[in-house]
Amino acid sequence: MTHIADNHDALLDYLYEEGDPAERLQIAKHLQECAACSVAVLEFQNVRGMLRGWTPPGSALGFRVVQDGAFSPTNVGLPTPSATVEQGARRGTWPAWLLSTSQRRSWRQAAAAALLFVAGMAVSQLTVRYEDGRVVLSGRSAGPAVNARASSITLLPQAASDVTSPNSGVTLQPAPADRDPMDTEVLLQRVRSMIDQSEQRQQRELALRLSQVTREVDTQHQADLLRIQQDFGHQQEATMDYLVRTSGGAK
Amino acid sequence: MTTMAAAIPITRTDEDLVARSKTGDTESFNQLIKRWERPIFALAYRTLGREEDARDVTQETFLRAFRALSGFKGDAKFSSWLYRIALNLCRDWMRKERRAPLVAVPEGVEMEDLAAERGPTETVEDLAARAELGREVAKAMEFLPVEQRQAIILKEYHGLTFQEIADLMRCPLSTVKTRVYQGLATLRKQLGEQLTPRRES
Repeated sequence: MTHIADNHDALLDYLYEEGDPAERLQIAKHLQECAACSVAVLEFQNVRGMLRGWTPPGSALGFRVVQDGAFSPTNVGLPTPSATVEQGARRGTWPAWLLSTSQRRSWRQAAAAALLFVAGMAVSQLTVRYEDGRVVLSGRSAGPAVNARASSITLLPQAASDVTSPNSGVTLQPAPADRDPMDTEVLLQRVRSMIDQSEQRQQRELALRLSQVTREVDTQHQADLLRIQQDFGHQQEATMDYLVRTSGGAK
Repeated sequence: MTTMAAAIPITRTDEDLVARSKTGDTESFNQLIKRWERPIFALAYRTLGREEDARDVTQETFLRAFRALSGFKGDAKFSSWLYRIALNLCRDWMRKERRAPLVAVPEGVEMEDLAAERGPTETVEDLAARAELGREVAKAMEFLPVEQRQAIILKEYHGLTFQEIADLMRCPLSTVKTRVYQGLATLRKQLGEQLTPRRES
């Protein structure tokens, strides 16, 4: 029989148990006698064993066909442009219309913007002041909950006759341009500076703690050295005493 | 007896569901999707190497199948027809994107997936080793031309016969065997370091 290592068809049939069973039996007998072919088969089997270790991610799929219009037997066979394959909301996945690459990118950007917005509202502080009969939230003192509402609500001022009353109209405006909390760049800078400050503070605390530990270790070290010296001195004295005693006794 | 028979859910064949879908029963087609979306996704993922791309291709495969359902005469199995659509889409996708397959497997996600299916005796270390092995295999697969890659994927992971692969890829049986053999030989070379300790052990 020819070597199986040189006969690719036979090798594959043997590996995947296809082809003629009698032929596979012959190959099996040949492998018992031929070391070179046995090694070749073993290597391919090992490769196959490794391939089994490659598993795709367990993504939630749950696609479904959704049709906008009615699908009657009369129009079977015609393309249905209104049909879409959507992904179900199993395990909190996004619907299919979010799945195209460009759309996903847009939504990621929107989500990032929303996060920045929320962060900005939390970081920035608004002040409440009265201006021409309006209540203006624009500065740095109101709480975050008020800020969040302030950004999205604008009530127009009422008639001029109400100007005298501070409660006559309410306008919730964003802060002036020079202190605009919506400015993402400013917000980013603020967040970055806060993070920097936090890191610096942590580094200072760490350095302080380290220096304290170092001092404590040094102090302990000095105390230990002193005690060793004292012990050593006592030992020396005891030895001298012993020597004096023994030498006196010998005399 | 009748009550008991009614309580047992009826598992319809692909052919039956296809026939019903052709009459406008969208729910039957959704059952076909449910049955075949995971293998199609796996095929696309292993070919393209990107989870998001694989999901897009899976979605597009079923949409095309739905739209072309009236043209499906039933000469081949529905699954074979579906596989062919997916294979062509993967090939087009790679050409269109003009990029080689990329293995971008988030470590944590893969570990989670593996953990979900781990055996009772499998430790965390075993899982990590399996995840690492998967990455090595995926990297080695990148060296294969798309035809070899697809032939091996269909053979190894989808259990198709060489003849079925030949029918799907519309090429002679000998071509499929050559592709699988050459692909395995390349993988053996690429995975050589990992194979050595196995041989020794």
